[in-house]
Amino acid sequence: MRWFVLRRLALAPLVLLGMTCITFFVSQLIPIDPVAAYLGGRGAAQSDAAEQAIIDALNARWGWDKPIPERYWIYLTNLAQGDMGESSHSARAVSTDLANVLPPTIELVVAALMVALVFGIPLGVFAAARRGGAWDAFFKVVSTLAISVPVFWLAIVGFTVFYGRLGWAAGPGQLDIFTRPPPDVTGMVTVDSILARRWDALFDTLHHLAFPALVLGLVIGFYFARVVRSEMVDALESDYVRTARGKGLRRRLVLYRHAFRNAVIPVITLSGLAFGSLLTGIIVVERVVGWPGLGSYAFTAATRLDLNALSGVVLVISLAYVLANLAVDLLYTVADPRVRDGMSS
Amino acid sequence: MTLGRLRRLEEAVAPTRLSTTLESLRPRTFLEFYGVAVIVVIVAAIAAAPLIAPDPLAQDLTSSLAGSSAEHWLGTDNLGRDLWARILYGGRVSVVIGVFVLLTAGAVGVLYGAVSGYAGGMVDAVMMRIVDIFLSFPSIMLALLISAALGPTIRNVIIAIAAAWWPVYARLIRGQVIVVKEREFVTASRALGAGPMRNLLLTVLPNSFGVMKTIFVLDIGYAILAGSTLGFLGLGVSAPTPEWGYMIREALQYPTHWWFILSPGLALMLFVSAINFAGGIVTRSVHEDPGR
Amino acid sequence: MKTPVAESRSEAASPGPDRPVLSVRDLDVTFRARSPVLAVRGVSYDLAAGEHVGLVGESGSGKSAGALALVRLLPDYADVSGTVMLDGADLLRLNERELRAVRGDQVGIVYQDPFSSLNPVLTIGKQLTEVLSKHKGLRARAARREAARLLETVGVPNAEERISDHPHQFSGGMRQRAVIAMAVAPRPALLIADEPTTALDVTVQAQILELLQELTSEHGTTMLLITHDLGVVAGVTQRLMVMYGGRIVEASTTEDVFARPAHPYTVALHRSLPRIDARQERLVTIEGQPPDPTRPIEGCPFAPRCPSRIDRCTVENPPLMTLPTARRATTAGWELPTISERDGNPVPGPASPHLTACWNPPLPEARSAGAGGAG
Repeated sequence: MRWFVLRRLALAPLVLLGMTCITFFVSQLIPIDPVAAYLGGRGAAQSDAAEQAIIDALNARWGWDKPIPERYWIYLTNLAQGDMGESSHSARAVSTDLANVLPPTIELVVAALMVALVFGIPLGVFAAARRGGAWDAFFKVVSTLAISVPVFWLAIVGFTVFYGRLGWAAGPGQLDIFTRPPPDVTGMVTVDSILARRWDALFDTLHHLAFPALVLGLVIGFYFARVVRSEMVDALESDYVRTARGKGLRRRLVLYRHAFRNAVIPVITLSGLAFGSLLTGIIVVERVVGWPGLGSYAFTAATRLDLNALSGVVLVISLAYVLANLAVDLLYTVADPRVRDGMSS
Repeated sequence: MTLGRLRRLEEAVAPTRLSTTLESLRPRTFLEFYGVAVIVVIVAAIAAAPLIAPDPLAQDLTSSLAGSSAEHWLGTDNLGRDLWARILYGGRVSVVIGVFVLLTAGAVGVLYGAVSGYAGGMVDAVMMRIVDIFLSFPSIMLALLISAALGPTIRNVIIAIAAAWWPVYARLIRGQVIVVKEREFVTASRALGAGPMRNLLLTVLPNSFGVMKTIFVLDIGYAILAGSTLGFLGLGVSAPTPEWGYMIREALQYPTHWWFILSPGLALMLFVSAINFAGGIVTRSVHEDPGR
Repeated sequence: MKTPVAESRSEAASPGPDRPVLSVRDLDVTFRARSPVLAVRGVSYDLAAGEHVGLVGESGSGKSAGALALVRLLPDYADVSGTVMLDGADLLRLNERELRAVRGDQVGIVYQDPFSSLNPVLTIGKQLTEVLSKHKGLRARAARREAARLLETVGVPNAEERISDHPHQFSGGMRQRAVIAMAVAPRPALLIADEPTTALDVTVQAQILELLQELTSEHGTTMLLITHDLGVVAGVTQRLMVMYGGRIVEASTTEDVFARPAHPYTVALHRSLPRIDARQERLVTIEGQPPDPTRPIEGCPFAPRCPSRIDRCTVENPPLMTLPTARRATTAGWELPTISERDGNPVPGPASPHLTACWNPPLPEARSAGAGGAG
């Protein structure tokens, strides 16, 4: 176990370094002069001298006049100090922007993940237990549709219906405009509301959180359910489940103690990957429901071709993804005794 | 073990070779038939688009955001362009993206993975760590960044998505190559004096494609979805060209004009789900319930 | 030595030993598929209390399917029909609940592959105690103590400690011992051992067989030992049933099957067995393929490969070879099927092959051998 975990941990910094490498070189792909692009965004109308001064300052900071390896080194050292450059559309440091948009996104991710797990796993077990039957066929159709639908479109249509028509969902944002926001401590309105014991604000923000969390959670949940079903079907047809049935154990015990305990191991691994789809979903869904998080920020950055902001978002999301998968690997070693004892790597 | 063997009996007594391959590729369930039928209809319709639809770029501001009529079957968008035509031509973009992403990412991934797996040792280790790094991005994030950097054209969208996807294929093929490599017949052909390149191309690769075909079919659908996601973010195909994701983005401003928002999304869902349903034909042999 | 069991399609005609423990009649197993697989085609037999019976056949002969079908442990796509009487109840007609009370309690099963038949994520102890708490009503502490004792009994050293191990920490032989412990824990009336040694090292095989022998004899458990290997059953069983093409083609005492095989298939099977005691002749392989399991069989399933085949064999299934028939056939001087070799290939025996034991009517005083498995 130790060995496996250590290897994972040792690999993580390498992966992070590789990621910065990719984001850096991708940003070098832009076929335009970065200085001009930067100044172009500001409408450079000053004197040549003043302009030259700015260019010099920029070059000093980003090394745009230096060869590529050196620029990468500068990029890295800046990054290490939390400096991801400035956003051309907000005119603030990307790191400041990210610090502002991250907390609402964490709320949404956690909520959606909870919905996905609570909904998806039992659904998959249910379908597997009735494999070949009518419910299973129904599940197959609905889950295939769910993974075939563009989630941003589903969010738009759902929002139009449930907010626009029926008025069940709350409107854009985290709180109604008439709700006094709780004092900002963590940036997460739910947590802040609890800290300040503002139950009205908590209720209101949960109402706002519900729709995007449900849309994302259900779509990802169907994905989970398909994986769970497929793993459960394999487990249910395995020899050890036959052994368990041969012992005369109750159906429920066979299903959960014997089959599910095995099926859940690959599901853990895949949930790390599903986390990636969830983060992708965040990008497109937040904008639709006006949730002021990372996704809305990325949407604007993409629209304005704000590359600094965009690569900041990509780095943050990839970091979250790497950490999530690291956590998943650790969980995996706990769940599977064979890995725990270092049988396989 | 016994049960598995009993289950394989069916295959054991089936006729072999080409006839079996063709036989196994025939749709069997209702959903598979449905999927194949929908794909055929959609592909035929988008191929015949110039014959059955008006110009997708012709603007008519006097009749913008109009509902369904004899002239505009699905209504018009905010610039008065015919939605039916834009859906059909948008389908062309989707098919092109789906197919070319797969070809590009497939070619790169297969070659990379084959070389890595066949080489083994340090080369393999280094090549696979690089793959690990690529795989540690959520694929759409990488595509998004590349697409933003390159600029919005069909070619760049294909490059962006393919750049994010090839590592998956590389990893898969490498695993297969390593397994196949050790099988006797490769050892045999090596003993007969076949060079490494010849071995790779003639013996190892064809035998590694088994797993790939499954993933390929399903991934066309996901490539189309990824392309539309980029389009929705404004990083896809540039503006006047009709593209389903970008159409949804445009419709975002007009949520009450339901035909505008519904048609591109439904088209996407219909097409991608049909591919997924039809994909059951190729996955069946690999990972499905026994013949029911 | 137990009384041999005759076979019959009708219950009444079945003499059976002194009150059989298990009585199987007309067992059919069909796997639903595009072309349904007829794995077992009308098998009938009785097992007496405490006897050890081998069920021998090559892979695909339906022996495993036939055995697992007794307690309905086959996958959903298997159709099972016939009657399986155990302790006055027809197992094929019990509901799920009643069946669960039988499984693991009255019928214990040892599976072929100890590497896949144990749950990889549960400890050996857990997998043992769940049988004990289900069928013997033991609580946690007592169940654990009993589980350790059982492991000790089946020869797992340091049972107290190893009880918290996972299966992957056990060797193949140790795993099979654990599986056996689970199977015999509630002292079942019947133990089904489905190729219990096939997946194991040769050195371990004998130990496992000895263990099975010991435990079943000790408790008077009836054992149905399924194998493709005649060598395995030789020392362990009193009776043998030979399966071919989903049917039992010969049922006799083990001694007779070895000394005087009656059915041409048994003869052929016998000749394909390496021997160390006899002068080593060339091992004879059986020419041809086993019958297609998706097709109905007309006549004798072995007929297409049988060197002593006569025309009648292809249209009519000969009566089952049972001990009286075979023995009396030889004592009466009838020809038993013989196979001679030419260039290493079996060729039909003597010039007049038609009067082999297959078609010899039993002597009047012999028990009716019926037409077991016809159709």
